[in-house]
Amino acid sequence: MYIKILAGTMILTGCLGLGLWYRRQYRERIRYLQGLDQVLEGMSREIAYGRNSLPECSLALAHRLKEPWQSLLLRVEEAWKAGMNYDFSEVFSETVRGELKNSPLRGNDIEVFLEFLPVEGCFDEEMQRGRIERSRDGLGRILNGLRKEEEPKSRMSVTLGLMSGLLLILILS
Amino acid sequence: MEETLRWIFPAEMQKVFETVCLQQSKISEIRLRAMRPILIRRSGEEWFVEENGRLTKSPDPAAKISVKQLQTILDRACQNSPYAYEEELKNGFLTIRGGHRIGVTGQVVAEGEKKIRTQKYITGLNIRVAHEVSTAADDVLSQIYRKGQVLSVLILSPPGCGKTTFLRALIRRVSDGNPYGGGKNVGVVDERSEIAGAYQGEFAYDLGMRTDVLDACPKQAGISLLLRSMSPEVIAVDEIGEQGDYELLRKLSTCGCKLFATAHGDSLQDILRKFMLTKQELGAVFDRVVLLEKRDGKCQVKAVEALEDEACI
Repeated sequence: MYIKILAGTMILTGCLGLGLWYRRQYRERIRYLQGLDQVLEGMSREIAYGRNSLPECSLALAHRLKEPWQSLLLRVEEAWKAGMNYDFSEVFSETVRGELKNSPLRGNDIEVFLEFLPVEGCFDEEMQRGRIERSRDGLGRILNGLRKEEEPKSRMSVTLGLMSGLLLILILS
Repeated sequence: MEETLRWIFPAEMQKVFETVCLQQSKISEIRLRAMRPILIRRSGEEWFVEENGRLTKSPDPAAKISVKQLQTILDRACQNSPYAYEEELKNGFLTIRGGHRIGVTGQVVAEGEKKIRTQKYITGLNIRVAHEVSTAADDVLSQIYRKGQVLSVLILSPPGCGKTTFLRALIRRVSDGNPYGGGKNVGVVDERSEIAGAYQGEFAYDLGMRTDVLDACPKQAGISLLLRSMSPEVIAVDEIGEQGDYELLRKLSTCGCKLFATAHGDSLQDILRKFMLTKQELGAVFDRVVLLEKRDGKCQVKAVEALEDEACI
């Protein structure tokens, strides 16, 4: 009897944990998207204030932002200085894709973020800042959608976890 | 000498520019023109570059460069941020990491009748490779000091004869001190980032232990700032040429500071004509004029003229 209770508790805890993990991932994705937006906002400001080049913006932000963005931008700087490939757009994209591969972000989130990088450089400050704003708009749209669904989805994931645990216990008993 | 140019060439062009990068110390100029052979100037002689990187005297086997490749090189030189070099591109050149200067020609986007907004469809790049010759000024040091005091010097030569290299060496020797005088506080207004080769706060060239550099700063604002804040004994600027520049330096010469400056010109008469000055008027600002020339492919001192007394050479 005790073993059955113990097993049931474990199943219930496991399923509830799964639901909570899903909710956490969902919230973390929102947090990461906000972080990406902060990086873009910072870049735009750096360009507007000091007309800094993209590598300079990246380095300046690396010393101002909190983790995980600080490490990410420092990695970009490392790769940019060490590599033979000195195309900053390529170095930045590759490093960001690699570093954020295991983050709660989806592939599309990262691609929307990277849209600000020019294939060929922008000759005008306004043009470059325009590209950054477009990326921010894209991230903003994703963020708005996620925020709108945050409450119901979070509740649903926890409830579903709990319900599936109960169902599993019923089936097994 | 460290290779400081390789990074501007994209991966697919590394082979073509292999020899050029390896022989950077001997190369003074790389000329890239759309659909024309790649030309370099090495030890004073003109060479073409083949696809496999070999240098040749004949233009026939030489590699040609496309408009797209030119654009890519410029883009890399600007670190994918041409907007950050907008002002430089308006003036037709930009200085990259290492102090190398890239002249740019293409289709000009004009703003009104006199102003250039930017350039597009780049068709020509002239990469002037910067060199550090720390002993370049040693031969004339004895002539630019009087009773242990350094004098104001104007360095004069046609383009490509090593004015900036000479100025750099002179600043370093005066700043560190030498057998003719103790070390002086030198303030450098590096308008084009060529003298110190500054990149993100790091200098590519050693300008001496008592040198303060204002990087990418217009002359007038820079000189005022240095005077107010760093109490320099010598102020150095590169390439004076505008009418206002002379007036600015004349005012500065009354502040008790010595001046080092460079200007384009073949002779002292050239510069007098350019600024519409008499020798006495120029002598009110500068004590010595160092004339440089290129002989047998080497940059050297042609003469040192004293503006206030007899010629030194």
